[in-house]
Amino acid sequence: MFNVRFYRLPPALTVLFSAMRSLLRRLNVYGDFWLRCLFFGARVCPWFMEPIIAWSMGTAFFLALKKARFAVAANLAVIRPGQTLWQYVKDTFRVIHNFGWTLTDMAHVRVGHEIIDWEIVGQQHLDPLADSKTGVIILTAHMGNYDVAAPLFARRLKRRIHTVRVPDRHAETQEFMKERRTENTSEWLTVHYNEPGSMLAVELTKLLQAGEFVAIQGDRILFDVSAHPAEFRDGIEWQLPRGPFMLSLVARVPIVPVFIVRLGWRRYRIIAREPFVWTGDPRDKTGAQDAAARWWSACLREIVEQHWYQWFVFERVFERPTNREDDES
Amino acid sequence: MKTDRLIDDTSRPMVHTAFARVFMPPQPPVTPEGVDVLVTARDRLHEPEVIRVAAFCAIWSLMATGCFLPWGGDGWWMALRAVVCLGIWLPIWAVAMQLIVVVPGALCAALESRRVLSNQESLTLATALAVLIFTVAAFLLLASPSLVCQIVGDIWLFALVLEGMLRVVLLIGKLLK
Repeated sequence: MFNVRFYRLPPALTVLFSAMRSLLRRLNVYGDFWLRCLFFGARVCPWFMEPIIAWSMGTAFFLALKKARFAVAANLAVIRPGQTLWQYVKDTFRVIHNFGWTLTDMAHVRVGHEIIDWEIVGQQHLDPLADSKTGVIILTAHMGNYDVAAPLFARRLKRRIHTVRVPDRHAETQEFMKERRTENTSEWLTVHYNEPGSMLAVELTKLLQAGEFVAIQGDRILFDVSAHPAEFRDGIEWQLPRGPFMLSLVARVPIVPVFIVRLGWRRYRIIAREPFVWTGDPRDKTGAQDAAARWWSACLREIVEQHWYQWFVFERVFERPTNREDDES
Repeated sequence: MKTDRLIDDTSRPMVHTAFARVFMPPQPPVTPEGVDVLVTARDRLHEPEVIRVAAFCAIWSLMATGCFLPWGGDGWWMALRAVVCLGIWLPIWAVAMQLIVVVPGALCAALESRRVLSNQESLTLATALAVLIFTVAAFLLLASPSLVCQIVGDIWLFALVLEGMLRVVLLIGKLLK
C-alpha cells in the first residue's frame, strides 16, 4: 500500500522551506525588501553616493526586469518612432533610472527631509480650484512624483484631497508603504486603496458631491480596472481608465489635468492644464465619456511625447485596432 | 548616553563641500521662464556639484579597487583582458559601492535607534565614514604600480587636504563673524 505519510517532509524542513519561500517572495521586485533598503538608504546615504547607488541599482533593475524593459521599449517605439535599437535601449534605461530617482526622492520626503524644489506651471488653472464650490477630479499620470506632490498641492489649495491608489501586489509591501504614507502625512490628504469589493466608486462620488477633491491616475489599466479605448495616433489606440470619466459625469464635477515632472536633482515641475467640463446633454453618457476620453488622450499624449523619460508605465499600452479585430476574429 | 537633540543643524556644513562654498556659493533661487510659482526647499544642493563629486568618487574608486587586476598584454590579447577585467570588476565594484553605504549606515542606524545619535548626526557620521573608506582607496591607488593610478591617488589626497583646510578657514570665518 502506498504510504503518503512517508513522503511528508519533516516539520523542521517544512518550516525552513516556508521561511525560504517567504524570503524569496520579499526579494521579488514587488517585495518589501527593496523598499526597506530604499528607506534605509534615504536615511544614511551621503549625498555624493546617491548618484552612484542610483546608477548601479538602476542598471541592476534594468538587466533584471526583462518584461518591464521590453514593455517600456515597446511604448517608446510608439511615442518616439524611428529611433535606432541602441537609442531605444538607452531610452529604456533612462526611464528606469528616472523611476529610481523619483522613488529615492519619495523616500527622502517620507523620512522627513525637506529637499525638493517645486515649480508650478499653469497657476491660472489651479487658483480657481481653491474657491471651487463643487468637487474636482484631479487627473494625473504615473510620472514624476505624484505621491509626494499631492500633500504640497493640497496644502497650497487648502482643500482636502483624496488620492486613489491601487494596493501593492504583495501584502508585506502594502503594509510597509501604508505605514510610511501615514507617517509625515498632511492633514489635507487622504489615501484610498482601490481594493476589490471596497465600493470605492460610490464613496468617491459622495465625496465629490460633498465638494471634496479626488486625485486619480488616468494612464494605467491595472488588475480589473474598466478601460476605455482612445486614439493615440492614426491607427494606434491606447486604453484609458473609464472610472474618472464616469465619476465626473455622475458627480457633475470638472476634471483638471495635473502632471508632475522631474527636472533634475531634487527639482520637480507641477503642470496644470485647462479643466474639462462636459457641457452637452447630461443624459448622453456615451457622448460625455467619449469626449472626456478624447480630451484626456490629447492632454496625456502631449505630455508623454514631451516627457517620455518620465512616463513610468511598465506594461504595453498601445495596440493597433486592426490587429485586435484580427485576434478577435 | 542619550540625546534629545532630534533636530539640530550641526551637520549642515557637511552637506556642501567647502570647495563648492568657495567656488560655487549658494545663489538666490531664480524662477525659470514660464514658471508661475517656485517653492524652494530648505536644504538645497548644487546639482553640478553633486554630479561632479559623485562622478569623481565613482571613477576613482573604480580605478583604486581595480588597479591590481591583471590588465596589460599586447594587441587583441590586451583588449580581451581589458574587457574581461571590466566585466568581472564592474559588478563587484557596484556591490562594493553599496557596502560603502550599507556598512557605516547600519552602524549609524543602530546608534540612532538607541538614541545615541540624532538623525542629522547619524547622517554626518555615515558621510564621514564613507569619506574615510574613499581615502583608504586613495592609498591603494598610491601603492599601485601604475603611474596613472598614483597620479589619481595623489589628486584625491591633495583634494582632501585642501578640502579640510578650506573647511577650517570657513569655520574660523564663521566664528569671527
